Amino acid sequence: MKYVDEFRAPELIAKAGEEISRLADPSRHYRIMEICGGHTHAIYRFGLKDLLPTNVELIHGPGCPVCVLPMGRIDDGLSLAANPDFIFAAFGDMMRVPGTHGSPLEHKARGMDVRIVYSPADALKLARNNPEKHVMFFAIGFETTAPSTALTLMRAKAEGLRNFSVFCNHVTIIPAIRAILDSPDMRIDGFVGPGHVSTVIGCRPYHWISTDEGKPVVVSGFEPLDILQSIVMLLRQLGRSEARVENQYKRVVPWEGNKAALRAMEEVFELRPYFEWRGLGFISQSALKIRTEYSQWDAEQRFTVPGVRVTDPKAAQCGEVLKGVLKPSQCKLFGRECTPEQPVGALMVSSEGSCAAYYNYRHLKPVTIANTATL
Amino acid sequence: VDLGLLEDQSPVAGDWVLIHVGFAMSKISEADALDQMRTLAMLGEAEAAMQEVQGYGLENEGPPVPEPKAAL
Repeated sequence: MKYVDEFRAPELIAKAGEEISRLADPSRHYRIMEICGGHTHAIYRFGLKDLLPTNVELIHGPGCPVCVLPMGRIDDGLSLAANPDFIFAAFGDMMRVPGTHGSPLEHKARGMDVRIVYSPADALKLARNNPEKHVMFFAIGFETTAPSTALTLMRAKAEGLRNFSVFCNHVTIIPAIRAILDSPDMRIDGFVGPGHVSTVIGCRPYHWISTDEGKPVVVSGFEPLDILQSIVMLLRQLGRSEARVENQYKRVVPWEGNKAALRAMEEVFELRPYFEWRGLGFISQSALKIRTEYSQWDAEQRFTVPGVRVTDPKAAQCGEVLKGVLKPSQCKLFGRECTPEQPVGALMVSSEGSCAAYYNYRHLKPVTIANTATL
Repeated sequence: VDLGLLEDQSPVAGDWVLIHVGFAMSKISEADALDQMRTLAMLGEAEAAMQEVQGYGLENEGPPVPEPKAAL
């Protein structure tokens, strides 16, 4: 466990914790959702929950790309890559995500050519270096990653590289937030907004959450102090019955986002009419598909995809955890049948999944205000 | 690092950028970048971040601001 005195500006961490306790009205119970899986990870890793009064509850949102991907998409991608002429390329955090017949890593053990890449551009390099093979990049991620895939596809097209395609699972964050707000069993008072998605989309796309739904949003960085400051900003707004979009992560996030990245996405992608999300079901206009101008590089348009739909293992309650209805430890399989070593559900695989974060850091000594008082 | 997504921000050699999956996403001031590097070191994440940078094949190009996770 990292103690408070190892954090940046420990006196500020202590102050933020005190300020949160001061701002939280004891007669209210606050439910604050951190949308992004990176925030969920940091909250568990640094024991930030222990700095909050009991009436400030953090609800973990849907912003973990691996977690929200339904198993059928993994099965579809792997079924294409069963062709011995294929190389299946994906980010490392996809490798242990279970499909119906095992994860990509287990398929590799059975002979499939599966490669870990750090960047979609690496997948393109693989295609250049393996002209006798077809390299399919299994693309996942929100708007943080989608522009990189888009630019890679633009380069593939410009080069006329024929042995490369993308199996596109990119999703967009705003429709997921809307689905959560529309969910009848969900009450959220405010949002810690995603940091890296916002470097691309900026802060404007969250305005409807404040104007139409009356909820404050604070786009946040990923360090312990960033997250605590964002909670302070949210509680200040809630205390004044305000609902605005604020940017705590100004050092990285421009208010208008990254226009070049948005242009690349616009060039290559269009919205799917609907897309299935694990836990949230089908959400309209919530995912990206590759435009017909790029159909030669779209695995779904170029090859026949089975279109598998798989329901999650019945006992696993990934959906409820993803929606924030259940805490990870309240799932029947948590820590028993489902562990990071033997994951049943995707939330236990990705380091950004709330189950894996909770599992990996639950034994650690929590940070407390008392620690900071001794500094 | 691929600078294709930063064309509006005209990065030049010596600028600091936030990298995600091998692509520079956002320019950062030097003060903020150095502060971020110090924080990563303090949080014990500098090594993981540099491993990711090595994954991009950038280890000989100086220390960019690494972004630890390839996700949201």
